[in-house]
Amino acid sequence: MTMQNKRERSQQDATACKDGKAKAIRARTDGEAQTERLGELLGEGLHEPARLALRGVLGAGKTAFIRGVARGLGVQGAVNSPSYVLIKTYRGGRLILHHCDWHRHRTESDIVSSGFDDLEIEPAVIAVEWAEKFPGFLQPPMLWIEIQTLSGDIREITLRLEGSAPALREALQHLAAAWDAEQQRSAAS
Amino acid sequence: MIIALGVETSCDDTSCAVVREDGEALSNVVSSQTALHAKYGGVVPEIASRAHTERIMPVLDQALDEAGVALEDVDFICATKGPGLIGSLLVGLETAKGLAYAARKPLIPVNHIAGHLHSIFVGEDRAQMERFYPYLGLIVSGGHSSLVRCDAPGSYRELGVTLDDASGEVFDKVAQMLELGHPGGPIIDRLARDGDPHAFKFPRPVLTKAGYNFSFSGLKTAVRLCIEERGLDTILASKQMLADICASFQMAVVDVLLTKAERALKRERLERLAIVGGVACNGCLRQAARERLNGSDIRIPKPLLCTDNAAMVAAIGLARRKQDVAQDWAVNADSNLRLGK
Repeated sequence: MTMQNKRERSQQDATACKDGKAKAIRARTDGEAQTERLGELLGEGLHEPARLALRGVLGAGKTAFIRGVARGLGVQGAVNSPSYVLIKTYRGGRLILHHCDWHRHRTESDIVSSGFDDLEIEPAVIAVEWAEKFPGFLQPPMLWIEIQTLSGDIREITLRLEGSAPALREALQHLAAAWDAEQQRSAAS
Repeated sequence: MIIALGVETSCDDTSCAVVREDGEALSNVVSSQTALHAKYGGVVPEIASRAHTERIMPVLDQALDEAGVALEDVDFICATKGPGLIGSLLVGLETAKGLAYAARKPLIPVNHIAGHLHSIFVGEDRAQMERFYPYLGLIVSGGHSSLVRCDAPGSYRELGVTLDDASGEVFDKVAQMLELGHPGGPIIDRLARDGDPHAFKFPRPVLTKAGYNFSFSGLKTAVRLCIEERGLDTILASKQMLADICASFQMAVVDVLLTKAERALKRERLERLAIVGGVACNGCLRQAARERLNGSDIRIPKPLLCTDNAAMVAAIGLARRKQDVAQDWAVNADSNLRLGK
């Protein structure tokens, strides 16, 4: 039953997205590998600089999602938690990827002194974990990625576009269509 | 005899040390900022760099004082270049640059991870050091978890890294979920002593996968689910349950680290293992390593050399002085610095 629901929902979302009206899509993942795959599909569709804002509790899968984005951009090698150095930069892909963590920042000036303002000097994808701690600091257009933990390893991931960004919208469309196709294939097999 | 000054400020410890060519640490002064950051539940970068700025000169003076030397007597100045917090790294590296420039001493930029790998040799001469190579380095700290094959000072091959959180980080995050305070490692270590490490079955998913990489995100999630299921208040009200959760979680981390290390020792045909970094202070890890890997020659530094310190920085700088002297003053801190070959 859940498979059916999931498929219907992601089909609806995909359709809505194709109309160019919907700014949000929602997907359910079961396990870290799927969360990473969803991120990868987003990364595949990113061809221009973008801002990604992630939200979710400790262990929700934020880093796994960004590892997927990195893979989708063509980054190889380890992509792990930026909690310690605050910003991890990956240059091996189609676009530079900056993976940031705001968990330990207390004020906006902490973000600035971590070197955040310098990140957009070069075109890059900037992904921020715990972005909701400083609402308004990350400026739209951007993509909010909210990861909610359901039972066990199930996650409900909502991707919502804030502001106008045709390139991000296209990336969302790519993600919705590809995710939907993959879900149907796995349901069929 | 040649002596080196080491400067280390990669995270939240301000440290300067004087180390002699024969390995002897004449001083190793560490000013810990733990108390400053405790109330924020983790190291706050801005606070860390400000504190480094205030403390670096007094710490330097004390290190020279305790060693009984003047800056002019020093032959090399070694400083951590990365990885670490950029604002923290800059304080140490730029101070070292200024000192080197003013005193006309060669500057040796040092990789922090190489420093940890070399920490087992503080107090040893070159011959003793060379006898221990090649060895497997298990680096476990707040920011890093990896397995490295070490063939010579500066000659490293990374066999495995963490796919998500570093081991120290997962201790901190679990302590945070249990509202135990910061830093999480020592607190969990202490509580776990009264707990049953088999009371809770926490997963070790990465053990079924080939290779040497670590992963702790599944474990972190399992602990979170366990807390949600039982309720944080219930857990905190029961000393035994809290101790059992800490002990079971800690054992899962240790199990992952040692199983991977064991595997790497065997496949790389290495007989010697060094466990370094802040998490190497963990009592359960120290004990389990000696019990499980008793066929190997294991070295775990004393706690002062496990956590960040400048003696290890000076020691690796000395070992690499022929290759790594900075060619110009443009050398810059790099928060993402990779371990060199």
